[in-house]
Amino acid sequence: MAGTLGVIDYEITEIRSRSVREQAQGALDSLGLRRAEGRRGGSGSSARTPGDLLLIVGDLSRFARGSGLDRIAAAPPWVSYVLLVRTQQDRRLLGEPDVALQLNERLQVLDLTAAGPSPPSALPDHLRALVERLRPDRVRAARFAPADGVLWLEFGDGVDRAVRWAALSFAPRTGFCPVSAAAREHGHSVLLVDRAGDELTVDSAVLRAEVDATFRDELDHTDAQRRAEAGARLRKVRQARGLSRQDLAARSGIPQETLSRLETGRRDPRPDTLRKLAAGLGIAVAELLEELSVTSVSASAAVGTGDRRRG
Amino acid sequence: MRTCSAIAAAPPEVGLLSAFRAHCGSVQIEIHDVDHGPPHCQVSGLPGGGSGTVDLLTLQVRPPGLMLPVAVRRCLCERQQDMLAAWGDVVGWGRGE
Repeated sequence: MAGTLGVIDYEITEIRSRSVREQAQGALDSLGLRRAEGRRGGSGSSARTPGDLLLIVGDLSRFARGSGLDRIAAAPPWVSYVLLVRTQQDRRLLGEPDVALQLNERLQVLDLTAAGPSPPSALPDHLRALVERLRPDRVRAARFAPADGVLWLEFGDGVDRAVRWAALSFAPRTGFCPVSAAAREHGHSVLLVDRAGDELTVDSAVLRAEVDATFRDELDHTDAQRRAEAGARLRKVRQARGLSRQDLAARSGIPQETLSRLETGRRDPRPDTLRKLAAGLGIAVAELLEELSVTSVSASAAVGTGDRRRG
Repeated sequence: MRTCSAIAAAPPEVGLLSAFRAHCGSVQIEIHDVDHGPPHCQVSGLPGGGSGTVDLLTLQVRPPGLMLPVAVRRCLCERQQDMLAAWGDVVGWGRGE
């Protein structure tokens, strides 16, 4: 959910098609990625460290003819590539052994010509999905060794960790004894299965936080921000009705201290608290949730999910 | 999938959740069994292969700019209280202030 740990830089290099170049640029900018300052060698930024990622987008044919493949071989392990195939000549290159042999997860080919004209969203969608998989709070691979009770995890940014199941802070409370583990599609969670075939899904961010103190701090910070945003909206709903905190406390039966904690993002409202809040405001719970929501259903198709319905 | 009663004594910072799963077309909406606050669900299988999270209180989507089809947003609105209850039951909500 947080996932801003580590920096993902990008380079767009030698893409002949202006429209494809612009699609790539627009998609990467919209994802909040930073354009790499370094130009050559795949490690241009001196500040880059493991956990940071460099994503290079370019034409397959130009990489194959020039020094691109050497760059891949020499690049640090956190570099990921997307290479575009757009011409008949490029497609023939795919059959060349020296290129095909290097088609691994660090060298990806997106064939924009294989099935006729591609929709304009093909490249942005591919880049978005790729960047999602590279995040530190995604698990790309997981295994469980039942003999020693060790869970092995490889995260999206290449960091891998082995941790004893019993040492995970939440494990005792689950009462769960896994015998196998696997990363789920999209890497959002890990699926654990016990001997009886019961399943437990564990959020990938929770797992990263268990093995990475820096990430845990960042996750706490991000979650606090989200609570604060929700609390601010709750305060606006109250103020829009001309009610003081004291008024609402009296009308809802919720202690003022609890209201304060809710509005300042120090706790999440429970369902019964929402019911009391709605009653105190003289509205239905569904109406309260609608007022707290950042978007309306009817507007979402046109404006996307990040836009606010009200100011 | 765990039952609510089996894993009800979780601290607020990391909740152990009764999984909530729903489908809206090809899009899956899910609450993980073990997750961190604040209340949120995962959405995956979006057009173009996208995925993200949705805050259960504000329905704010992460990452910002991720587009949800109208039908999915409608489903989230309709099931919002169910999902908050699913989250809340397991972390011990609903038992007073």
